[in-house]
Formats: sequence, structure tokens, C-alpha cells
Amino acid sequence: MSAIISSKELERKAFRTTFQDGLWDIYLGMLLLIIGAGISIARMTSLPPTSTNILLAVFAITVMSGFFLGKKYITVPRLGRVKFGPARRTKQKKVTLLLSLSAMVGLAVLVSFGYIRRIEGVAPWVIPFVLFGINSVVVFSLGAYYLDYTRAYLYGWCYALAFPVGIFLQNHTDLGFLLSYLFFSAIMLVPGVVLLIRFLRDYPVAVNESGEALE
Amino acid sequence: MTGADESGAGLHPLADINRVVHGPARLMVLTSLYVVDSADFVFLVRLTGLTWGNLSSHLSKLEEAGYINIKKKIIGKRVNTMVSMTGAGRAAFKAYKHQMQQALDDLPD
Repeated sequence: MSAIISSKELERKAFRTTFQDGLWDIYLGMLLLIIGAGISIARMTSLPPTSTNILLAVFAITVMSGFFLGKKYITVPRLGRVKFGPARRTKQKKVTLLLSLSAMVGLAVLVSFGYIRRIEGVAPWVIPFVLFGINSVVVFSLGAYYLDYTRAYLYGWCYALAFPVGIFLQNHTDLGFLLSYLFFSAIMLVPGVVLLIRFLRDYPVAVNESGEALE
Repeated sequence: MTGADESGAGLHPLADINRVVHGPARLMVLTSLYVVDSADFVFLVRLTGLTWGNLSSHLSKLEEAGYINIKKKIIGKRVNTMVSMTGAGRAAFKAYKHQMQQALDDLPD
């Protein structure tokens, strides 16, 4: 009986199915890869900063569009649409608020970069990236908690560690940043791709008895 | 069985159980809808594991009983069927849950 009426667990199971497609993992992995690509392009090529920024913005918009199109054309026809109850919607609102705050913190770090880099005795990159790291870990951890998306705890650390590890590797090879960002992106991309393949295999497009797609 | 038992409503705590809710497939649908605001047909097929035809027939029975609300709308070129639980459905499900819990909890181990 308890298995039937454990409504909390059923709701959580229903919500977690929305992360089974691996698209969030791929999306977050690709965004980290773009950050790494930006740093690598700036260091390894003579492209002007404006062109690099435009290129990165195009990549980011492409990845974002890919994510939303994937949700629309891959996930929804296979998993259907669901509107969760008030408790879950409150949690989702908290995550939206959190992401907005995080973006503002990121912006504040960028704006103040010119000032805090001048502190004597501290390498110019340390303070902004310590702030970026703390921001990543806190935001991803809270997101993981509120969304029941446990892999995000690890992903927060991937975002936080990619730059310092890149600095460390850069002392040994010119490809240090690229290797670091590739490695930490792969931690997200590999499970994402595996989940997506499994999702496509386990959830074919739902059809009715006449063989017509339901969505 | 005594004569009194045979003449009217049974004395067993489950004798007057709500049979619309009690069917396993309908119970699965109702428990699914109980925890969300609304879900479409595809989501319910995935969550309950019922076939398209089976789910369709059970949804019709639940709609007839006034326990669920079915809304169809066109998204793109296809019809999307959203299902939600009505207030009566929620009350019936709560009453059913209470009755079942009471009946089973009273049993000796």
C-alpha cells in the first residue's frame, strides 16, 4: 500500500524523468567548453577581443538554441508534457531567482575585474576566479538541491576547477587551458551523450494504436 | 455470513470501497495526477505503463465519474490532450486512501 500512495516519491520520480534525456548535461558541458574555447582563442590566436566575443556569443546562442530545440523535438514527443504542483513550481522559481542572482554576481565580477586585479602581491586572475568558483559551486549545489538534479553538485566543481587547473597545466604545456576545459566539459558531456542515447533507445516517439505520433 | 450481512451493505470496511478509484489502472492514473497539476496523454502512458487504448478507456471512465478533466488543444499540427484531477476526484482519492489505510492498518501482523 505504501508503494502506491507514496505520492512524494512518485512526484519526484515524475520530475526526475525530465532529466533523463541528458540534454542539461550536454548543455552545461558545451557552455563550459565555450568558456574554455574563449580563453584558448584569446591566448593562442591574434583575433581581436571583439571578434572573439562575437564568436563566443554565436556559439553560446547556438548551444542554447540546440538545447531548447532538443527539449521540443526530442524530449516532449517521447516523454510528454507535465505541469507540476505548487511546491515544485516554487522550487523552480527559486532556481530561476538563483540563476539571475548568479548572473548578476558574474557581471559584478566582470565589471570589478579591472579594479580587483590591481591588488599587489596577488596574481591578477586569482580574485575574479575565486569569486567565479564560489559562485559556481553555490549556484550549482542549490540548483541540484532544489531540482533533485544530483549530478549538478559535481558540475559546480567542474566549473570552479577548470580555470585553476588550466593555469596549472599551462605551466607545462601551451594547451593547458584547452586540455583542462576539455577534461571538465567531458565530465558533463560523456554522461549527457550516454543518457541521450539511452533515452532515445528506451523512449521511442509515443504512437497511438493507429501508429500516429501522439505529439 | 449472517442474514444482516446478506441483506444490505456489507460490514467489511472495504465493502463500500469506491470501485471507480479501486481499479489498478485507474488507481495508477489517479495517483499520477494527484502529484502533478496536469499531464498530457504521452506522459501518463510513460508513467503508468498502460497502452494507448487501455489508458484512453480508463480516462473516459474517470471523466464520466467527474474525477478528471480532459482538455484538448492543438499544438503545432497535433492534438494535445491534457488531463487534470478535479476537486471531486481529489476528494474521492483522499477518501479512498483513508479507507484503504484504515482497513489495512487494522489487520494483525
